[in-house]
Amino acid sequence: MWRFVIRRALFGLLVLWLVATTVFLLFFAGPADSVARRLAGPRAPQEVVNQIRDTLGLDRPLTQQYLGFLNKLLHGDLGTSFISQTPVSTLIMASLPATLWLVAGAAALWLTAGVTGGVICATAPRSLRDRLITVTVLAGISLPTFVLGIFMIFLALSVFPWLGLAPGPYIPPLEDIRGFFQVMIMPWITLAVVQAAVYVRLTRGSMLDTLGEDYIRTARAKGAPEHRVTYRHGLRAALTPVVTQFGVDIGALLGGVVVTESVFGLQGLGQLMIRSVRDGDLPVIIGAAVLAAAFIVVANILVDIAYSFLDPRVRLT
Amino acid sequence: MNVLEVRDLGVRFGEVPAVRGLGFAVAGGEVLGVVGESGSGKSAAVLAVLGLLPPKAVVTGSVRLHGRELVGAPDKELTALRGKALAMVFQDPLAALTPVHRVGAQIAEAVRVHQDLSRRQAWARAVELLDLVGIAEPARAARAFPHEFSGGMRQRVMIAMAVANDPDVLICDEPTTALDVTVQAQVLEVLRDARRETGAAVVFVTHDLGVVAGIADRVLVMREGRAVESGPVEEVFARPRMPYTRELLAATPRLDREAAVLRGVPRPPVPVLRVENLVKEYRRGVRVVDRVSLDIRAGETLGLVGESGCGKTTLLMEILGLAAPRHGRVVVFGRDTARLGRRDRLALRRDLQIVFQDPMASLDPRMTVHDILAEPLRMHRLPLDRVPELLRLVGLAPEHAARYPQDFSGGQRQRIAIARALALEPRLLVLDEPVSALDVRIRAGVVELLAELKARLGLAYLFVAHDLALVRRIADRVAVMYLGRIAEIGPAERVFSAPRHPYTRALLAAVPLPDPVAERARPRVPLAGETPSPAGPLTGCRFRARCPVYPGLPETARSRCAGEEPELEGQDGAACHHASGGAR
Amino acid sequence: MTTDVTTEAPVAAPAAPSRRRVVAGRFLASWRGRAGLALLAALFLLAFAGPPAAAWSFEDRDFLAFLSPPTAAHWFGTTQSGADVFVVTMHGMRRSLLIGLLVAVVSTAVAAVVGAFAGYYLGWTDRVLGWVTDLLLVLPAFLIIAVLSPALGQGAWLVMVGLLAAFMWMVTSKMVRGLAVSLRKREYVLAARFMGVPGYKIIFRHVIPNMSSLLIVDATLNVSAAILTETTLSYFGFGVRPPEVSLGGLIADGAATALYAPWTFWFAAGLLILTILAVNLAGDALRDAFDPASGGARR
Repeated sequence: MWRFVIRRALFGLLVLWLVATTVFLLFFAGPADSVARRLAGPRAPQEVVNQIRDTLGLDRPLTQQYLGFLNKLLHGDLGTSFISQTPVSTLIMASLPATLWLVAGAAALWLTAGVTGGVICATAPRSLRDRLITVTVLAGISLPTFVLGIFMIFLALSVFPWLGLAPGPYIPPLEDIRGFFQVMIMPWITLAVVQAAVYVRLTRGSMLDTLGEDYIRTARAKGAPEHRVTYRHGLRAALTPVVTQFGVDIGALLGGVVVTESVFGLQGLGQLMIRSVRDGDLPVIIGAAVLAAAFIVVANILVDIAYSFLDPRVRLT
Repeated sequence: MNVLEVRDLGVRFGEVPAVRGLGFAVAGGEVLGVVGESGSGKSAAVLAVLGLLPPKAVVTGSVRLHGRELVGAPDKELTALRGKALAMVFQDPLAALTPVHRVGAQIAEAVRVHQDLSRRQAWARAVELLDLVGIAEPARAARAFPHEFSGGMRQRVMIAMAVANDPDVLICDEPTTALDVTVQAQVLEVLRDARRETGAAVVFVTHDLGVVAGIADRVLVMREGRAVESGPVEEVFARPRMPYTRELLAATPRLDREAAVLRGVPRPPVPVLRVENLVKEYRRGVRVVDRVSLDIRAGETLGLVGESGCGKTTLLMEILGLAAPRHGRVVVFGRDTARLGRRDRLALRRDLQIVFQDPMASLDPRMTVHDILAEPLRMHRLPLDRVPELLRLVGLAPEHAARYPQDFSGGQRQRIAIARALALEPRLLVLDEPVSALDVRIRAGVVELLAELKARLGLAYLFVAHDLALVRRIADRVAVMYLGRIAEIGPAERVFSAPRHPYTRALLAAVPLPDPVAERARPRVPLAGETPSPAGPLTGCRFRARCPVYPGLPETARSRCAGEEPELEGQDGAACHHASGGAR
Repeated sequence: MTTDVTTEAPVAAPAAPSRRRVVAGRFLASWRGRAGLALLAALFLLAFAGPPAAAWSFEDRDFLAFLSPPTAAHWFGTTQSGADVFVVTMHGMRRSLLIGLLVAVVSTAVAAVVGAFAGYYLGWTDRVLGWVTDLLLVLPAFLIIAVLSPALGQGAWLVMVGLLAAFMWMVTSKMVRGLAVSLRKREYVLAARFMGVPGYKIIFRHVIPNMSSLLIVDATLNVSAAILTETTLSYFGFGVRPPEVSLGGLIADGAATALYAPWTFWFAAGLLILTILAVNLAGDALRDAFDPASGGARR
């Protein structure tokens, strides 16, 4: 198995390098002046453009710029933000906890709700409860996150002001546990609702497939009670695609829960990314892009490993 | 004393009746064989006995176990009975075992559900049961997962699970259908032992009349959901009363009947296919086909037989690929495949065509029959007006060309596949188990057709099959493959009546005869073990691990088998150091 | 024994209904199919026939009614600059629907070709295509599109379609590849190979058509995903840019005034939700129509 991990890690590094290169080319390819103009923005005065050109050394040949860029990246120096003059790594570290907490909390919610809902549906297909849940889920999937988020804020401010929930920047739990929850509950629910809907469908479908297999019939023929058949044989075998999807989702979300963070003003990684794109803050963009890609690569490796544990037929190659 | 009594059983799926008015009874220690073709309702009937049909099935009638009514009984009662008084062995053991749990755990579960044992005790009992059904190294085997086992071993596991709680009734639904014939013989032995140990009443569902003749005391013949005939097995086989039963028996080829093939006719001089020392290797030196040599002359039928893992399908794919093999030579119609250009290859494909096993999968469901037959014609720029003629050639009406494959039955689809193969007027037709997916009566029709076409069009056939009785009927020559090599080859009559290789002898001995008296009179010595994987190191004769002759040989003879790989000499003989002309 | 054509049951006398008809029948029989189709039809009608029916055009500004609630004259009210919300929203919906449709079709087509070639040929073709797929999967799509969008200039929504499609085909292509790997061993594919049919023809004639139900369902569901992504981008100002409008941009603008001028927000948001819901309903019903046995797995 270690051979597998090492191979995938190497491949992951390759991918990260490609990501960094792509981002680099996106920004730095081209004659020095147009690049500087692009970075400065269409309305910046010429002196700013010149300053940028000189500071970044845009006159140098492209390969030299690229090697310099790579060199700094390898040393963990993601550069300094144009706008705030703070090191990019600091900015990223500061915004990471908000994103991590958001994803973790929402994940706990949507996994429980999603898998439970899916099992409830699959064990009684076409029944009333199955139909009700399916319709609810359909509605849930059709709700764009930002609409739901705005709606929740509206509810919180107009209808339930006494709950004290309000959108706002992340508060570390160790500082103020109450404030932490007040800030996080709405984003958690918003993010979890749409994801839960997806997971209900996924679990339901996977379990329906599993429950139709021959080995379920064998388990019943043994005289195993129904709940044992459903959980030990059915759900256990059906979990694999759910876990796979979960890993992929976590990886993608960690790299950018952009919408939820922006709507609620959580100052997480996603919001940092949006701001930096708006401001043309190149070093932050690059840092965020590489980090997001890293999350996805790691998540994929973990998912493959988990898969091999869940399904003994799979051998890690 | 009847343990299980079924009266007027009916099963309905929506509007469609699967079983109608079925009645039978089984006494303790007795084996009732339930025989029928596909769609006869035999599986639905036995699933109804256990209450394992899907919820939308409607079951009527009466099923009594020790006088206790099961139809309409509350689920709790049934759950208590299943696995304890009523046990079942299913057909496909790979699909029937939960892939994510260890084998030992699944058997232990069967035990713990009905008996009050601790985990450790249940596990120990599971290991005991694995030993009982003949699995080597049962303690280690218990920790394995189902996919690590071969088909025969998995079925033994299923049997172990079924007898774990000493059932009163054991129901087997086509338990050996998916197995090789030598493995089938082993598993049938295990079932006989299980019946003896538990004294259970056994209901054995199958479509294979030979198996029924060997294992059943009484027979029930089913057709389209109804019972057609029943009685003691010798009676029904020797003096069938209903025409349907007679048809079934007539359509089942028998291994012990000689075929009406002319003897002593010299072979035509021109080979249409010659394979010399062909080797097909997968990665890491695993030789799935290891130096195979054979040839087929114009108008000849070569039957290629062998069990799963022997490499016969790989051999076919190699020949049909018309590509240069890694080692050895393939010469098709006088052209060496290693020296073919693209255009030559295309031209050669006209002369070499294939008919596959699965009639469902061999026709593209998205194309009309016309397009399916037109595809080869278009590819080789031949006129499309041949299509109606092709359909007539295989006994189908030309109007059917506008339909889709799913509108046809299995036998008809196979005929369409044959028509497609004949579209380019080939001289050599490769047939990969062309009738094994068909019901026994339909099989006879398609085999007739093939014989007719061969005579009319002067075709040569390379016929792969595992049904030895069928091969005896239609093949001129036979080649027996084992683990990538040809064990024996020669004229069909010679090989079947006087087999020389111990494997051929074992193979022939394992094929059940649809004649209860003859079948029970045969000595039963199933071949031990399973076909080893070709990946293992192979020195000397690769059959010696299972060879019944080997243990009885003196030391010097044995070392020869261990060190020197036997070779085939010529095209009539066995690759064995100690081949004898011994009869079965 | 004579040929078995006479002993076997004859082919069903009236022609069995074509597959298309069976699927359509099942689709229309389910309430979700009917609801989804009806809703979509209504939305399309509204989007394309609505503006001509309204008294105002896209560029008109009613200087007598800034930010006024819905009236008979302005069915959805007006914006801060006096534009008629109904007409503007319809234009936005038109754009979003069009983008969604195009993106779905293009991405599914690309996924089908890439996946089928990778799965059929395996070997190096598969490896190279696999690397490309994996790489695109890892690239942060949102970020890259956001970064590139200012460079797109005005009215370059077709490029936006291309970008969205470029980041959407990968997941489907993995699924297609899996199917192609199992289909390549299918007997009718082998038969075609041994007839001499070249690989690419086999892929387009036998492999891809036999996945058509999967592809159609996937394309339908991709429409909603595409609309969602585009709307999200536009919400942040990265997607469709002025003077073009899309529902996302309208929602973004409306969010600021949502509390005291709800008509500037809720019409756009509501129509967005309805559109996505309609597409999902139709897609779900379509999937069940093609394969009634499935419980609806994958997504």
